[in-house]
Amino acid sequence: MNSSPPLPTLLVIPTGVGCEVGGYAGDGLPAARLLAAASGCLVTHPNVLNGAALYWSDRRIHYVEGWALDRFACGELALAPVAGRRVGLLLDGGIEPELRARQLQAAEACRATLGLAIGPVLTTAAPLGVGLSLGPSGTSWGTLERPDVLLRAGEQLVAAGATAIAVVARFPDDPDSDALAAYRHGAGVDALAGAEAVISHLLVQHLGIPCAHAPALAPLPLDPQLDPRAAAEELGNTFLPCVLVGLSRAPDLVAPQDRRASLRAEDLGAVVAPAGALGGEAVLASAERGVPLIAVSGNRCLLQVDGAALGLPVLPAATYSEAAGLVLALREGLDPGSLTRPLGSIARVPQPQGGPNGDP
Amino acid sequence: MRLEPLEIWFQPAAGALLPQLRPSLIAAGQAQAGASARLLRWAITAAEPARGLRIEAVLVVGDLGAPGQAPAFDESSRPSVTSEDC
Repeated sequence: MNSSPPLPTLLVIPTGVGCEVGGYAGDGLPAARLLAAASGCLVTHPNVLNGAALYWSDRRIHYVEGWALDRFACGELALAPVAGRRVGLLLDGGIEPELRARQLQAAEACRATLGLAIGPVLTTAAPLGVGLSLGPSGTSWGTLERPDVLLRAGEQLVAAGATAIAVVARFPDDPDSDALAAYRHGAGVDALAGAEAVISHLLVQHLGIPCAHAPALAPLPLDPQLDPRAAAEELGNTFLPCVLVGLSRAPDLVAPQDRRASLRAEDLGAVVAPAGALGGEAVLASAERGVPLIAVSGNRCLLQVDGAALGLPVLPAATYSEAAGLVLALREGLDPGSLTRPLGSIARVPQPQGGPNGDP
Repeated sequence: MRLEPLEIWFQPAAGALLPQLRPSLIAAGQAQAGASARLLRWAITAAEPARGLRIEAVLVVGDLGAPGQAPAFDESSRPSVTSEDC
């Protein structure tokens, strides 16, 4: 048990950029658990924590959707932990009846087995029309034919009593694609992740409540060569349980001056991100405010936007284990520089010529 | 209301990046898609000495209005609250 006060830490593993850790099916979760233990308080986003039917609930981990995470890091939103919340379920009208029934059964299971407050359920009359794309860098993104339908459905759920929304959209099946094969074998970008981020960002931006997304997809044929990091996505018929669990205790998003706010951007004591993916808003905002930035070089991805490219000082870490050690050092008030060799001299402030001269 | 991708190259001046980036992105988005364009998602995805920083973004174009205002879709696409309450 660490007796030092928690050091609120922000963990960012960008979505859809092919991160070796956290770029698959909730495979950033062990790193998140370790950083939560080291810091005593971790703020991170669903992409890190969601493993389809697999999840880990930890009171020290705050589940904050990516758009809200950016606004939090920029000091425009604060977090107010809640005991629990009612998660409304928004189903895309484009989901076939059998697949839709699987989503509903997953929600029923989370209520019956985990005791979560779930409902009401709303099915859009029109399909949302999810499309998948790759950007110039090869990172995934996506679009919706009917964002208006998504947002109006979200409004109806809030009016019906939901304080968070889990949205399940029908994603295009492409079981024979090279990109999917590469992803399942641990070598590609999660082609769905960018579109998932767009959907949840739209809802959170519009409604101001926690929202997260799970895709609806037809089951894939068995692949004996499946990479362990992608395996969580093939355990069942839905990806919904982790989202319902995460949202069930996601913090309220409140104005920084709100008296319920218990965690604000200025409370952050560290931010942890892949060394080549430092160009997102949350990382930039935190680093430019002077929050120590721990850059994990062992989490390679498609991008090479590092501290040198952006003019940001970083604390380098080869692995998340090392990053957790640095977080612990900061929490204990240790200078991380004192833990490495060679140990340089203490910096001197240059004295103007003719000034005091007592320092060699 | 629609979603639209945006890509720009940006040569930053000295100093903090974020205060330079956001206004430039909003201006580029509105130049591309009109005054109603706003940022939904963005990130720096490349850094080159000659060209500067490449930023890829997703814009929301067009207004839906505040929650609770009149629906922006026709009756045939109106979501229906089902009787299923899990």
